[in-house]
Amino acid sequence: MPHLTKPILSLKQFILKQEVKTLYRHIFRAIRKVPDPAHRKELTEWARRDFRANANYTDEVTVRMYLRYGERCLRELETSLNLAK
Amino acid sequence: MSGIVKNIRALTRHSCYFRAYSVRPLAVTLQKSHTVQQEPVHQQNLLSYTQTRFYSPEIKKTKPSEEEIKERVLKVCASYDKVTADKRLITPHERSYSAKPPLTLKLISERVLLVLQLYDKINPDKLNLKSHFINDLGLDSLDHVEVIMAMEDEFGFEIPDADAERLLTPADIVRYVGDREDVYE
Repeated sequence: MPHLTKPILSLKQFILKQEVKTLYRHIFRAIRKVPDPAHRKELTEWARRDFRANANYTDEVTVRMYLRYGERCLRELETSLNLAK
Repeated sequence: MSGIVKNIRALTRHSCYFRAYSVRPLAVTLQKSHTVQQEPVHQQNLLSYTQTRFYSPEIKKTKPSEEEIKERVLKVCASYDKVTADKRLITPHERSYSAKPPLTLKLISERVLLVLQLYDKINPDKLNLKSHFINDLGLDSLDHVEVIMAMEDEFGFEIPDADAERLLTPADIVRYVGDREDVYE
């Protein structure tokens, strides 16, 4: 039985965490479609850095604010990808 | 803006004027236009007679002479290579389909471990099939997402979120990929 290294989250926190993870996944899937590999690398570094820098907040409002910022970035990325096609 | 339009209009009008007086007959002018060449007319009348089209010089190509045409046809015929033409026309007897390499569980586990070793946040000494990503290898949930995406890239199919949640050791991933790809041993 694996020992617990992390605290058990409440339902709200768990759902929030899931949302963050799905956003992260969507961003990476969008980055995959970028044609230029150097640009792709730069975008992945930027995404990882941003997510980890803001990873420590537990306050729901702050997390939701950053989630919205991330969703906006994702939408910009997707529109520029559609334009570049 | 209107000044530019006026200038362009004036230019086109003048060029039309010029064309009607040029020596080379234009194919698109109407029959009546030859009467225009005799005497200078008012610009409005000119426009009504000549329905010339205003092409820029690059678009309007000169017609090749018969000599030129003959030369070009002979050149194309001379360069016809029967051997390569025959090769192209005959349908190839072997068909090439794309296929994935044959997978065995051993091969899958090798590939999974290779991908994990290439991931910079994993310590390769601690890495084996049973090591838990979060508990043993010290990754956090975002790293876990990245690892699963790397597996998607490696094996070429998408792993939905619900399944990705449950894949917490390399052995899980190997079994999952084996189930997806119908690899039994």
